[in-house]
Amino acid sequence: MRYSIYLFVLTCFFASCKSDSAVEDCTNDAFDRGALLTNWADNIIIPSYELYVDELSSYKTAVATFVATPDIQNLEVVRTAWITAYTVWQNVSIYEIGQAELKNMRDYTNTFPVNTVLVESNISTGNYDLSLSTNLDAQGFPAVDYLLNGVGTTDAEIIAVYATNGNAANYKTYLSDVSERLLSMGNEILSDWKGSYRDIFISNDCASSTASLDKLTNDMIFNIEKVTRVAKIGIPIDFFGQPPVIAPEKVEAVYKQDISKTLLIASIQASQDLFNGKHVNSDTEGESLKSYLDELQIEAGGKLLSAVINERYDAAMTQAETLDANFYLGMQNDREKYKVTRDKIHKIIEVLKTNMISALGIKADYNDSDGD
Amino acid sequence: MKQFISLFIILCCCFTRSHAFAPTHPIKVVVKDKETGAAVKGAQVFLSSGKELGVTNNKGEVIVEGVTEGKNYFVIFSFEYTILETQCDIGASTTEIAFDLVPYGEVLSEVEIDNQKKEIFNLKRLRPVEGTAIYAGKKTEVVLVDQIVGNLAANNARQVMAQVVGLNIFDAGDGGLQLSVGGRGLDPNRTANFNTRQNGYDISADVLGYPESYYTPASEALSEIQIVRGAASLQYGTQFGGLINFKMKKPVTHKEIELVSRNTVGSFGLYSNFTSLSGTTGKFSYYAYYNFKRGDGYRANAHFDSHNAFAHFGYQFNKKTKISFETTYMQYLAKQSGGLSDVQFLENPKQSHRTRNWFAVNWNLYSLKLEHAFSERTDFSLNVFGLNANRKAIGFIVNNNFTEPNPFKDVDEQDMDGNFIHERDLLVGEFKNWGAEARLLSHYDIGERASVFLIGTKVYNANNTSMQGPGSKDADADFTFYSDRYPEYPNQSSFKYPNFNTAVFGENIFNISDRFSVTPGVRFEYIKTTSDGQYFNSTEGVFVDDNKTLERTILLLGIGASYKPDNYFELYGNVSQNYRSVTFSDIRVNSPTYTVSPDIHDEKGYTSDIGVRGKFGKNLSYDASIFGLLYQGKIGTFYQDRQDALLRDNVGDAIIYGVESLFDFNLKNVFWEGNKHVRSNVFLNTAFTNSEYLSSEFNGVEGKKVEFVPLVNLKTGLGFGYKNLMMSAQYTYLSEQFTDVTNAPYDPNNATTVEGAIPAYDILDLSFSYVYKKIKVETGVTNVLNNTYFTRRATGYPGPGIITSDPRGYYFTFEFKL
Repeated sequence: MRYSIYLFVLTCFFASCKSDSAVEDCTNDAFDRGALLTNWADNIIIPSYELYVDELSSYKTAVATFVATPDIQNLEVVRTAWITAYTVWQNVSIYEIGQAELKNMRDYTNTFPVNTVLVESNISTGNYDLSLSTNLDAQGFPAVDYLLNGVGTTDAEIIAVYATNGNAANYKTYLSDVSERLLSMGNEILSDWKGSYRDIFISNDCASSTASLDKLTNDMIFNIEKVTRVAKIGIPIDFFGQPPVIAPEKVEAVYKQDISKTLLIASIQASQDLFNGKHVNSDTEGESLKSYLDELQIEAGGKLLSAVINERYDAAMTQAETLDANFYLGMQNDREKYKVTRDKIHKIIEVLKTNMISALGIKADYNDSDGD
Repeated sequence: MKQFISLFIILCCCFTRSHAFAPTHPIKVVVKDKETGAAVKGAQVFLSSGKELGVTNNKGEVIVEGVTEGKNYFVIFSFEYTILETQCDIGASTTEIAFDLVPYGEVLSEVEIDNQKKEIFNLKRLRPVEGTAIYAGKKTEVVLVDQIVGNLAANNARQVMAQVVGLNIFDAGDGGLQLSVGGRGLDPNRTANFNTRQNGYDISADVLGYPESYYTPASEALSEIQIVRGAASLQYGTQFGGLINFKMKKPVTHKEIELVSRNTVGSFGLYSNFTSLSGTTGKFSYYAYYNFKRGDGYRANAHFDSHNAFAHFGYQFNKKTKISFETTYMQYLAKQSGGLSDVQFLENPKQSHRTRNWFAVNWNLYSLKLEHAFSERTDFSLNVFGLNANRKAIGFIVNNNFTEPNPFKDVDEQDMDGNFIHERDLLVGEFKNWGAEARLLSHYDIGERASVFLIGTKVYNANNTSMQGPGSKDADADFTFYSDRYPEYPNQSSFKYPNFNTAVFGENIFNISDRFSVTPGVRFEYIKTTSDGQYFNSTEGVFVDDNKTLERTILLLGIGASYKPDNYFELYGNVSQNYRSVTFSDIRVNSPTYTVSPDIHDEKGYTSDIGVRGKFGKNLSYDASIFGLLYQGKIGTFYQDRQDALLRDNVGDAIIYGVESLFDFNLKNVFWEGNKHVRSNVFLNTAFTNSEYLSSEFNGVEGKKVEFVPLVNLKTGLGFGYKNLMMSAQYTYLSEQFTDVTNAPYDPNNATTVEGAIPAYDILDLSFSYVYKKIKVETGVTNVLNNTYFTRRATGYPGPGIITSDPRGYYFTFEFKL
């Protein structure tokens, strides 16, 4: 008799536990995360990669032309193509997930400042492996910046490096190799998205540290914090320095100089567009973090939180517009203006990192490990 | 929670009725030799519940108390006689019972010896009072290691601890060098949530500041593993898990020298030699062993060599006083294959992407123990112990050139000439500590009722250090720092951890009636945890001092109760406070973006058990209980927007509760009643556990389940023996369990993060042993079903990542005894 009672109790316990088992109820609310992920993948991420790969292909063609005939006209064409691709990259930079994460795409594409000593040494020996992490700062857009804008002080000098310099062949090879690597990385990741990864990304629609939404939201925050705020402004103006020792040579595109602002604005805009779920090729907005917050009716200070977030994006953008197009010179003249911009960007991060992720139940994924 | 309470009520109701027999007056038991009629001296008289009633004197007599009226099963055991198990009706007028023992006519077979032990100790538990310890009202479990038919040479915890309820075990496939067991939602890693002891003294690196066990005694040398759940907090460590005590074999008493030598070969290059010497001469006794073990592991890039030695010397001055000294040495070097991502594991669980990761441990333990009986009723023990140890780990973990280093995507790069590019990460921990624990236990009377009083004190002083920095770029096991060569290496730190702890504790058994006892206890602790040192701020290129001291006093209370209406049934319950001391890694920082809250405090909580244990009739032994564990103030790190920094503080509360039970059924008496050549039993060990985070500073954690809590944890086995042949089959099943606070599900496409559930797994093991005179052979198959599975996602060494468990394996042991 007693056995049967015991068994009965066990069974009840087992049954009662089973109903709240984890897998069935894998999000914290009724919002359809799958729809959001679909919008992100189909209307933002994949079109961004397509655009990026298109621009890189044009750029690659321009490089081939320039390498074949190094003259001022071809140099201008390749520079323009490089700027366009570099600007689109600011979108793609956010999506460090899937193969992009595995291949460290962001680090290999846009680690700056470029290490010109290493670039020169690679060129002169002709012996390098761009896939090694030790060559991170000798490739990508910053290396191209140096190769197209920094190897001489005038355009004539730059052309001479590719036309008449004793090592011209090596320079041509290096420019081609670096450009080819950019394109092939872009292609590889695009084809993964177009292949199996889109479905994997969308179907991972739960709420947990490894879920697509949690991961990409963390990536978005990481990008605006570490890439936009820290790398583009914080480090060059030595934000934490007491007293600050300004380092304008660390700005993005330091050799071209007059596109640093374009790149910064593109980066903030890309973040805001992802937040709003705005399609890459139109002004249509789909399911997004914004609509997610709105559906949950999350407010802050009497307003919708999404409105507060957009206000902060807009404020940062307005402030960024006031900056000199040439950061290298601009921050030496008026550091304060850059500091204010940095703080406005930080205001976005603050509300994303606290109010937003807490409302959506997303755990911040910074590393809390001491190595053991 | 409601389920929990109603369960409790149901359980209490269904087990408390119908036990209302009164214990009788004292009864004289007389034991005689059946053939000669001579008195048998020194025969142990037990009830089949395992309760020892007494030992016969020169006249073969003993007066026993506490036997209830009605049917009783007596077990009489004496060397050189066949064990006697018999049923007696005890009435109000019974004053004397006599038993006749049959002498052995021949050498006993293994089954017979085993049956003897089994019949006496079936499901042994710790008695209410043992030596200078009180276990009344606590949930205790005892593993009788010499009864296990399994792969002892490989310290296979799954087999050795199969009858311990609800254990979550990492099947590491490392030859059992490191024991990693947990339970009730506590992290199994290095058994850190248990207070781990050997013969009663601490063996972990630092009981409070770094409670991890790098040393595990060889199973082949063990007689028992004793486990006391959470309520052990008052007398032992304060850990939530409770106490695990490894009891070594005692010196043999009837010989001056006994040699046991065991050689084992097994799959994956396992070879082990275990040789022990044991004996007693006059007042002096000793037990010593040496154990060498090597193995290649299942995966690529794995290998280990281990040397372990132990010696116990005892001197019995007189009946009242005994002194013993013990020393332990262990040293091993292991090559570690690193962890895998889910994608890699599915691709090929055997692969390894780390070719130059090494782990070395050197462990030296000393213990001096004095036991003295001041009187028949008062026992005293003093144990002074020390540890001198280190552990070193070198390896390529992640590529720090990347903005977001990641062990799964980061390749250990080689340049075009094949030389490794990256210096390896080197971690060295040195542990030097000593402690002393004194206990005094006294039996006394309150009015008519016998009471037992225990008071004890412990002093513990630790001086540990840890250093992290750049190791060499080579591939060998070179544990030297190359800080001069690589001054820019980002992960550099050097800390000293002086730690002082003193405690006073007491418990008292109050017998309210003959059946009901209450045991309140108290523990008072003073702890001073210090972390003194510096870390390298790699962005600034400077070393930053980071010194912290945390000093506090803690009062822990607990109470246990036991209702034991007869010798076959006990209802027990207890509740006690626990805490997990703030560890060194909790209070030190290694990055400028971290701060530690000035209010950080120990993780506190309660554990409680309510259960029943005993025996139904002759054949079924059981222990079933429900438990609850409330965990308050788990430590974690979260983002603070004001400071734009990470703060480490107490962040959340959790509750874990469940039903645990162990049933052991003696099949022999059902199918082969009276056949002394047969032994057969079946056991069922189940734990159903549920858990929930009640609150958390982290987003998306409240309401989630606690990590390492499989809903179902089942182990079941069948043992069968015929004459000298024994066999056992054991089946283990654990349902899915989460490994992180956000409850990341199992994701076969996950290639980048260590988080994710551990899928349910099941394992079948078969073992055999055969004895012929002085020779014993053991063999078996582990993971018969050849399941590909894993039990662990390591966040640090030996990973990070999934650590593959072994597929089907074989072992063969040859033992001879002289």
